[in-house]
Amino acid sequence: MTQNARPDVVRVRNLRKEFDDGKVVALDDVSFDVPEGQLLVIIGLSGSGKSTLLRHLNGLHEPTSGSVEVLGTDVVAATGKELRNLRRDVGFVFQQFNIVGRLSCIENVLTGALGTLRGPRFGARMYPKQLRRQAIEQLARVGLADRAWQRTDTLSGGQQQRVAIARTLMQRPRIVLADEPVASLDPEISGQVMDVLFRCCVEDNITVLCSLHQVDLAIDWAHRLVGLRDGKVVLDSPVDGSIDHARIMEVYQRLDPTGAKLAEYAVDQQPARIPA
Amino acid sequence: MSLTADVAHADPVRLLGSVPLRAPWTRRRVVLALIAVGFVAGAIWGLRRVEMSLFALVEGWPETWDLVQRMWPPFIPAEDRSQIIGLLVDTFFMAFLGTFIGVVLSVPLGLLASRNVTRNPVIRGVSRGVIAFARAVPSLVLALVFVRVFGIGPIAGILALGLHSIGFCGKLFSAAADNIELGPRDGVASTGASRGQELLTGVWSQMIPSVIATSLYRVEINFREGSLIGLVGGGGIGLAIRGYQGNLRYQELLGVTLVVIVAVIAMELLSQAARRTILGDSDPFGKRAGHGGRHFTLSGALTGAFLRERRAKRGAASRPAAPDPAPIDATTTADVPLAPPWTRERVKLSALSAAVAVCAILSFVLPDIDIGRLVTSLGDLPSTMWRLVPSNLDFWTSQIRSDLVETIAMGLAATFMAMLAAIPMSFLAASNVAPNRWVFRATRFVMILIRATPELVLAVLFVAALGLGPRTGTLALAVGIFGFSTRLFADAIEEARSGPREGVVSTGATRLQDTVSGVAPQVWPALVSQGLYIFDVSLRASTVLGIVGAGGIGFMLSNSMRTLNFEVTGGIILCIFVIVGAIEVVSNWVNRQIT
Repeated sequence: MTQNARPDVVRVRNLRKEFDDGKVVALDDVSFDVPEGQLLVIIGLSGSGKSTLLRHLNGLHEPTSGSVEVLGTDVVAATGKELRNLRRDVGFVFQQFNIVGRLSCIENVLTGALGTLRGPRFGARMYPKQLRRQAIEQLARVGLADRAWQRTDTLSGGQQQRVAIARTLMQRPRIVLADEPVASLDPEISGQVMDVLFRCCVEDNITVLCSLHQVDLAIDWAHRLVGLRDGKVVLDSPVDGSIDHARIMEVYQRLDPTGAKLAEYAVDQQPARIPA
Repeated sequence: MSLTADVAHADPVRLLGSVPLRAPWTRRRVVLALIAVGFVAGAIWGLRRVEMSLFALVEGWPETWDLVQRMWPPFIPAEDRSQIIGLLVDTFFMAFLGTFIGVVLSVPLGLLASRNVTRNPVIRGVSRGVIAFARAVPSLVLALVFVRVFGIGPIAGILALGLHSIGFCGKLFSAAADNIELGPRDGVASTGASRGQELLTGVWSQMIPSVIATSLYRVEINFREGSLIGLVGGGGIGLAIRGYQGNLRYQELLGVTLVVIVAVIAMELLSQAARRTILGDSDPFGKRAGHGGRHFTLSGALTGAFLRERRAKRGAASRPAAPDPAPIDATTTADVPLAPPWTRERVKLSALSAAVAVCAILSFVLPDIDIGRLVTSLGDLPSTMWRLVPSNLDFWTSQIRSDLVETIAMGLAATFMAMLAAIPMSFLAASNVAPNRWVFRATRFVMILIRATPELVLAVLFVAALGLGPRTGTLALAVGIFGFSTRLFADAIEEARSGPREGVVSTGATRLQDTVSGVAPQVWPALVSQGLYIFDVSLRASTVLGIVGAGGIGFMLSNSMRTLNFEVTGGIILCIFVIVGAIEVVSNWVNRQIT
């Protein structure tokens, strides 16, 4: 689908995931490839399987059937050390940030270097000076160098997510998986955080797979959109200059043909509009 | 819309007739009624078993008054004073070293017992068993054994406090590990960190506030318990209590009792101040710091701590992020230091570490505590514990059985008496319900005094006044538990929300009606679950009263140790463990019914 000659870094084939002994099918026959350097956005409503899909790519979930290959590693077969080595090259940005709130920002960013070190570390001073310098540089890239020694839980949500992004960049990953990175932030801050995430990844030539539920936010950045509905791929298309309102509505249609969930979602987004 | 439609179409007369005028007997109501009836029946049986009426305190008044006259005024002879101070210092270092040993052993045990850390259910189960066992066996019982093995002196006391502390610290540490947020840990794991790195950065860093709070709080408890260890020869201020009691020197006995009370309160304030300074609002044990006392239940401490932490976190996350300028520019790295700056938090933690280090060094130079011997004794602990394992059921005599039944009877009776007095009293000790500030303060103050007096010291005094036997023990226990219960109940009452009360008051209700209809319905489930905890505490306390002749299994315990009959002692300890465990199972069940 893309004419890009670059090698694929992610290969997913016939991926299926069931929960509760098959009562819930989260992913159903999902297949796609991602070439290096692509910014791919996975869209879909809540419960469509976006998070589950991303969590398969770094081994946080095991598939029921199908194969997942990331950076040449068979994720399903990988265990222990192999999996940790893979995770070093695959950064993950979580919806809930998943930083350790009690630690300072720099300590959280340094956590990103743990995979390159042996043995547990506690406190920034247990990391080499060189790494501390790098951590501060990464914080500077997300605009938070002046907060380096502040406790992370004293920052605002958007700032916490930027610390988490700095942690991911600290890993020097080849791929970043971002699972609804802005879903807990308000729309204005969301734009800023997405901006930081994609800018840094483009600078470092990192492949990005990012799940979002706001189609319009996705279209600003993505090279390609993949749409999921009830665990199935219902859309896979490159994003070019021809995106307009009509096209966005069409994408919504594919994600939610009945419009029921979309209506629900729209109500969620615009509360407190009670007609007099 | 649909709701109004339903009502409109319903036949009002038929509807009225079908509503009963009495609350229906739901399963929940039946269960609750059975629990209440069971408890009262048990308490009445207990009171009869120890041959005590609810008015025993009044009946024994002449003898008590006689003793009070012999005790007054309290007095400590000048030549004993420096020795008493020395014993107090010993008690402090016993508490410190005991806590130190307890915490060091509890950290790995707590992690092994945690669902989040240990995947193997067998290892987890064994660790939980060890923790439960350590909790069920009172430190005084352990001291009784260790004095025989390691000789009279503080070593036995330190080991006893250390081992018993595992029950408390291990339980809270494993709960802390169970209650961490899993997200940050996933975050660490997703960077490719090893398991050890994940544990330290993702798990341990979240446990730290709980570990600090628990350890500081445990020093306070161990000081209180350590002041009794001397009664069985295990070192500390209890030695002075035993000495004066043996020589029937009642003025001095009262004098040293007052010294213990003051020292215990001072320790309490010190530990509380340290926790408040270091942890601020996230101190799980010091919620009501302003009232100068302690607040504690295991579950309460835990849920309190984590709710507060979560609340704080949510507050931080939902804070409006307005100050962010529209585009985020990279900031400069020029002025950022590579070493952590001396923030307030870092200063506080360093001060705490320094204080621990100073205490550790001081305990090396302290004349009465031989650290070298302490370390070698630690190595002998496993073999000592092994000697306690009974090889047959010879200990299971009718005497033991009847003493065990008596112990349970004492625990039930004392809990019942204490709760009868504590429930009305706690309404006076709750700031939101008390008639005025002075009643509130006076009640709280008296309760602090009663709580600071260890039950066993009360038992020593009561034995002197009323003679030996389970009646005396039950009475001492009831008085001791009363102070503690009032405190717990009052704290629970203060948790009542004011909204529902405003609703009641706005109907024109009186003060008493407000208390009964606005406050009581909100707090009674908390009172029941605190009551269960009080029963648990009171039962464990009743097992040692016999050591000073106040009834129950304690007499057999100290007797079997006097004759070096390890297996009988071990058998009794096993029985205590089983009984305490059974009560825990029952309380957990009751707690599930009321929530």
